[in-house]
Amino acid sequence: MNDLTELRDLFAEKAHPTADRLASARTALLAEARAKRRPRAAGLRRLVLAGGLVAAMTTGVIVVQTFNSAAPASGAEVLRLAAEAASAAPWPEPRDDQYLHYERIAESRSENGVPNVVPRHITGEVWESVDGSRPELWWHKPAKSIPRGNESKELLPRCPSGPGSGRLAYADLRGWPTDQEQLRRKLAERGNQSLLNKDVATQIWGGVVGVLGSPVPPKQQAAIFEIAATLPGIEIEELKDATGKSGIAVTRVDNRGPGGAISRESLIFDKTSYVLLGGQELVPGRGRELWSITRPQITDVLPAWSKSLKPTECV
Amino acid sequence: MPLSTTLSDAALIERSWRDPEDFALLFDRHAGHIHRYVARRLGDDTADDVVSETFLAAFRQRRDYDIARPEALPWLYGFATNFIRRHQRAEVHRYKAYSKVGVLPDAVDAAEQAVERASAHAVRRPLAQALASLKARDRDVLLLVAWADLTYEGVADALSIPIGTVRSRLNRARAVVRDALGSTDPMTEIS
Repeated sequence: MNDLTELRDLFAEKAHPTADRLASARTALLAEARAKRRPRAAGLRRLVLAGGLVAAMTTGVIVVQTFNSAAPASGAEVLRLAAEAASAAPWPEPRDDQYLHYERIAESRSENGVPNVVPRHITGEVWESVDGSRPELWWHKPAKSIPRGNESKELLPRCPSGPGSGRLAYADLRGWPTDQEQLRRKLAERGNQSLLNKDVATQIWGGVVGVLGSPVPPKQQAAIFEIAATLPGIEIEELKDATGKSGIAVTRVDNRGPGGAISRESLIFDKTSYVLLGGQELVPGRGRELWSITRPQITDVLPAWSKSLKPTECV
Repeated sequence: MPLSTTLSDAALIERSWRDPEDFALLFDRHAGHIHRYVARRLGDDTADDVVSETFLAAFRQRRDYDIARPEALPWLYGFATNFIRRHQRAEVHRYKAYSKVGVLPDAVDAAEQAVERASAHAVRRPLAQALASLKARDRDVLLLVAWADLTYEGVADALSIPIGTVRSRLNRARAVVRDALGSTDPMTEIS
């Protein structure tokens, strides 16, 4: 036996502690954690106290219970809770020279065998230049369901014209107003780029869901939710996001579908934290598309493998 | 509970930035390992305090955690090591007592003492003496490798020192342990 083996045996009979032994340290930790819970605005606190989330410690087990009676009653209430959650979320402000790195999952499905909706499932990672001055990196991973499916890696510069020219950088959004009236105009302009000749509320909703498809600074995200809460025609339902997680969705019904068909476009939120999980567009009888953004992080550099990629050319 | 079984330590810590109570899941995952390690060095009662201090300190500094590191054990052992150092004299006294009489001073009852005395053969007492004689920083590295099963990289992370320093401290400590073992006949039992 060598010296390390002998040493490993020394006092090795010491047993793992029992849950009882650890209980007081765990209780002390939980007490501090509860005291440090971020103060939230009255609406959300009322929800928590009314039984939205109760964590009780019983010999080392956290018990989580949800009571439906405290669930929000309207889409507007969900969006206001989401605005509070966005304001309270800890999120270090990235520098302009950094990247936002996140995972994007998108899935589309046809309904009733409609041929012109191509079923697809994309899992990708995105590195988005915070101020848009450097190319954005996209890594589309092959879908597990498609053997030898296409994998693609692309460096996409922000071009003055052509595809992606209107893409908003995170830093652009940081400069957006949080004043309700000005922000409504911004969102309507944004929505109007893809939805000509629609009413203002539909344009604003189009701007809201378009902008929220990428990470948005918490302050602006909260302000956008506040505006969406004032729009007519929103309702709540339970939907699964692109990762399969069940959430509470705010859906607006309008006639944005092909040929003026009914379209139900939703934002999906976590049922307890009201953090935005993703969204869905459903055109009944034709198909649906789901998307989620997960694991957002801030990073200084692109992965080393991207050095071999050439940026795509602007047209 | 999926949250506690499917997420990496880093993901749990990141969640705890928003939902502080999720940090308790990290406690459930690792407190037993940290406690056993500290108890081997300081005994159960002091380990109770050190584990509590370790997780409170880690909780307070959770926003500094580098989420690129999926495993948090080295980080937690780093806090534990800092708190263990506050009990350095008691730790040395403990090893010395064991090397003299073959019983740890915090052995709780006569039966436990009898078991310890029976198992304190010729190798264990000089080992304890060697641990008592080490510099605290060398002992930390040696025991993080031998008792906490950390890799050199893990020890470097835990103690915020370069890997080269881990190697040199470990070599120094192992030389002392080998000297102690070389001066004994491991086949001789001390009754």
